[in-house]
Amino acid sequence: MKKLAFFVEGLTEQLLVKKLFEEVAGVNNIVIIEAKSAGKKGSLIINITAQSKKTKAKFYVLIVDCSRDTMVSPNVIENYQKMVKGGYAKILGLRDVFPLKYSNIPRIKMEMRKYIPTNPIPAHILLAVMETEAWFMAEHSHFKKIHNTLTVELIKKRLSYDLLVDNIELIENPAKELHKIYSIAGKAYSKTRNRISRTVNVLDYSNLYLNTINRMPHLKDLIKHIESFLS
Amino acid sequence: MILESIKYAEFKGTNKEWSLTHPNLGKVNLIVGKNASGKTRTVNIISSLSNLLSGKVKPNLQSSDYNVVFKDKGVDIQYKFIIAESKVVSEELIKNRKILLKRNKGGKGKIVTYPSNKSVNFQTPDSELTSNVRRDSVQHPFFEDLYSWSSKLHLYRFGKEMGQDKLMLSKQDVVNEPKLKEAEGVFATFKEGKEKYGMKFVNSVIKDMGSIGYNLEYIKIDKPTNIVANMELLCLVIKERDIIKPISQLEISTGMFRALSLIIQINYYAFASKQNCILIDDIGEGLDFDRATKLIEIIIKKAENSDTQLIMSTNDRFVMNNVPLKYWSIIQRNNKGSKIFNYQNSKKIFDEFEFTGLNNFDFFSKDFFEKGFKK
Repeated sequence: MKKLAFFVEGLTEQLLVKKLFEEVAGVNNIVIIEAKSAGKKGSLIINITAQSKKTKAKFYVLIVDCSRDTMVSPNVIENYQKMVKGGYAKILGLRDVFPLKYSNIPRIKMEMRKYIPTNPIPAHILLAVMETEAWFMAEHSHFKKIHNTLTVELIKKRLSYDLLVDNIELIENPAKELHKIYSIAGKAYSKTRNRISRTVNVLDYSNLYLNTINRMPHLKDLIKHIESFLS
Repeated sequence: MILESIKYAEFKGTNKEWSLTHPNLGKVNLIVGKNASGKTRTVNIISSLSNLLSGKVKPNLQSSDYNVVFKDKGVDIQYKFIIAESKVVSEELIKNRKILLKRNKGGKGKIVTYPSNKSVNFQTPDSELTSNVRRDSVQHPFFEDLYSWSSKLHLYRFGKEMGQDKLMLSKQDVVNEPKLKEAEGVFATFKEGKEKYGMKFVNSVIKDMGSIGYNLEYIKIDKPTNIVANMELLCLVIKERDIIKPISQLEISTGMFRALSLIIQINYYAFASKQNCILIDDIGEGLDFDRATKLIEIIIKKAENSDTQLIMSTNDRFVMNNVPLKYWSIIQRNNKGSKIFNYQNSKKIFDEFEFTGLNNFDFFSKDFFEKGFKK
């Protein structure tokens, strides 16, 4: 069984990454373990919060919710040797750019790389620009499934941006914008399991995979890493 | 009025020399450092300054050189004094660039006197600070600022009892004699808070305790449940929601009581809307990770939303990870004392660290605060 450890910033990233792996690999081919780093030892203890029991799966993915952006890299660094000994083939990390600025992205990538071990197994920290919710916004077909009145045209009229044309990576705080969009139809978005799951479950993954990634280079980067592991 | 900076030295030029340099402070401060780096010493220096200014202690020190700046509504108040062999050998007070007091050896000097606003000669015993012996709100009102600051400084050593072992005689008039200055006064603080601000105060304490995971049904003043004494004693009694019996303060777990003590006192200052300086040594000590984190969040929030200046110290990794770097003062020991690195004097390095994606503790443990990206 090929193993990958994925350290993510929070629950949003954990639920999305889980869904992406299931969509790309097929639910029956993959064992996904959801975990949370916690406890007095902070980044060192991993509590398993959900585990599937498929014994014939080819792939095994541990997705660890690190609870905050600044715990992703430390978790990768501190758990690296444990993962090597545990037979993991690759380690990935995913965190938002916000509250840092879009213009900081090249610098963030350069500096983060300096501290991440890559020998003997590869490890990469990926960025959601500016937040994971930007990918939800870019997969705009899902809004109608939240509420049938939520069209791109209505959103443009109310919030002055065009989800078909504008560069969504430039939106500073997409989680806040996503909530504003849902609010047009009297709905809400917040970082609770129910609300995140509602969005993650209505995304059109074919559209995301075929179209959205062409407008969202950092989502494309994530998908490429997932594909590379599953190949 | 907040303490904006504190330079301190003792035994200058000798092998016992120790100094604190680059010590700018903000409204909320977390002093972090390795063991023996000078964290507690820094807290003690600020506390000693308060004791000297309030007249609570005499300047019976072999060597002590203070140079402090307070900020009051945009105005700088600089106060400097040197003590050698229990004598004040120099003392100077400057407000808004105007010298209000200057004296040297022998206690002779000049002091501005109101209402004439003239500088006149004076002499006071060099065994005392002028700010104590010439305190006069009509002739020298500027000393009141210093006295007022000193009387509103409160020191808590979170690693100690925080008043858990102090009970109260029921007949003692705690309102007329509140021991609000120290943690030992938690009982008196609670009593006064409840009498002055009613159940709003009590409920705020209960709410804050709930926020850190201690769900209390009530807090009240009552007889201790497990002490037989030939006098009537009173103490704090709490009842947790999921526990059948109430427990008195001597039975409360150490960590829980420390949190309760601090929350009662912080709430009191918030309700009283008083400008205060709160010093907390070893914040979070004895509490588990979750509770320490939440307690610190509450304290910082209350300090940010009030006139309180908060100065905390820790060397706990998890406390560091949960207090934003903008509040940090990293204290580093060198051969002649301690140097402070903080956002005010090392802004570039503090800002750059965000790009690494590492946590706050790494900023400290990897010496990033000192070397930045040059490493």
